[in-house]
Amino acid sequence: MPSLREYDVKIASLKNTRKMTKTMQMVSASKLRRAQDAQRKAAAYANHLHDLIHRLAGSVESVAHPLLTRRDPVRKAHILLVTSDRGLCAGFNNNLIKHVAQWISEHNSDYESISMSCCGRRGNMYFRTKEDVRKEYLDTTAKPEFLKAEEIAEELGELFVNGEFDEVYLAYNVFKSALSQFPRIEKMLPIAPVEVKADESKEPFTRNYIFEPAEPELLALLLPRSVSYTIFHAMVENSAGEHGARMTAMDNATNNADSLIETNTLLRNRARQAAITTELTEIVAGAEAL
Amino acid sequence: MAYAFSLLTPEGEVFSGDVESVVVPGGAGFFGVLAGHAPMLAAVQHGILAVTTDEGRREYLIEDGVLETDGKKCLLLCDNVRDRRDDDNPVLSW
Repeated sequence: MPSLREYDVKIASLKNTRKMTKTMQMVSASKLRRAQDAQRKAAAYANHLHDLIHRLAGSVESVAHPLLTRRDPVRKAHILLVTSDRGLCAGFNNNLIKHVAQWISEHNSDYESISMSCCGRRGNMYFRTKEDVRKEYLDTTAKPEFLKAEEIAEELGELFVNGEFDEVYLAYNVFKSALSQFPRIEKMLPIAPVEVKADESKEPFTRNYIFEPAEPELLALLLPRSVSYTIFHAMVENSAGEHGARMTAMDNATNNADSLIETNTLLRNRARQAAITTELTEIVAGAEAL
Repeated sequence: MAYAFSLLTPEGEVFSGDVESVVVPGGAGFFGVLAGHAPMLAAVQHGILAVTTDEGRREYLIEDGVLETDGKKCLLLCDNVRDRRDDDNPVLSW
């Protein structure tokens, strides 16, 4: 049986761990609130952007843009993987990584090659030795910024237009709630035609509108922005999901630490009682012997 | 006469309220939008955006975007915006 002192050391270290997990949980809770706020703000922008694209599509005769062109046959696929930089958030990154690895093994035969690029260290750490990772975008997921998303979108868009890739996919975690996030892989390029179809419910621009430059050029300006936004959206979802997952994981860790502290305190008290009993027995036995 | 103007980026709303006029760096040069402007959709380049309210004039450094107005309200979607007052040296940093 461990001694009283050993129990004390153990309980002290458990208490330290508990303090840390509790703090991390609280930090994540406040960061989650901020991330959700960012999510809401981004959605407001997206609504306006998509509204403009749909209405513009209604007032041009045919929509043509290099980012919309489908390739046949599709030979080279590319995956942009958005994960977090840090761990300690339960299965948040691992679930996505497993999902992507499975997707790659399922679709390997459909393409000649599948390459990847990573936002966030966790995904890169796993895939850099296993797959053809072309680039890691550093410092992009901890604090999502639109300009960084735009940089990535420009780079991938250019490679897509130049024929480096025929299809670009985006893999990220969708934030449903603090308790549930699920992995998703969606096609980012070429842009799905439904994204730029004229929406019947939205009224197109009336004839007296001034367009500067003309409608097709305006649409060509807005479409890359919609790709940038898709990446930014994934980053924001990822950041909200990361903090949500970490909050839940740290809450569980705190509870586990609590129950361990309780068990060990009980054992320590038992050990102390045993020690007292032994001492008493020894004293009584000693006194009797006199 | 004042009209409603809002300046939106993906990272949040930077400005929203009634303004007298805004002067925007358009694709083919600066242009101003007053109340009752003809309906317009215009591309915006990076540059200095000047917003005049009854409290005075404010300037923002903006990146590319798009502006829509129907004469009663005006919406500017922008990639990134910085308030010029936050800049230590606005001339040098631009």
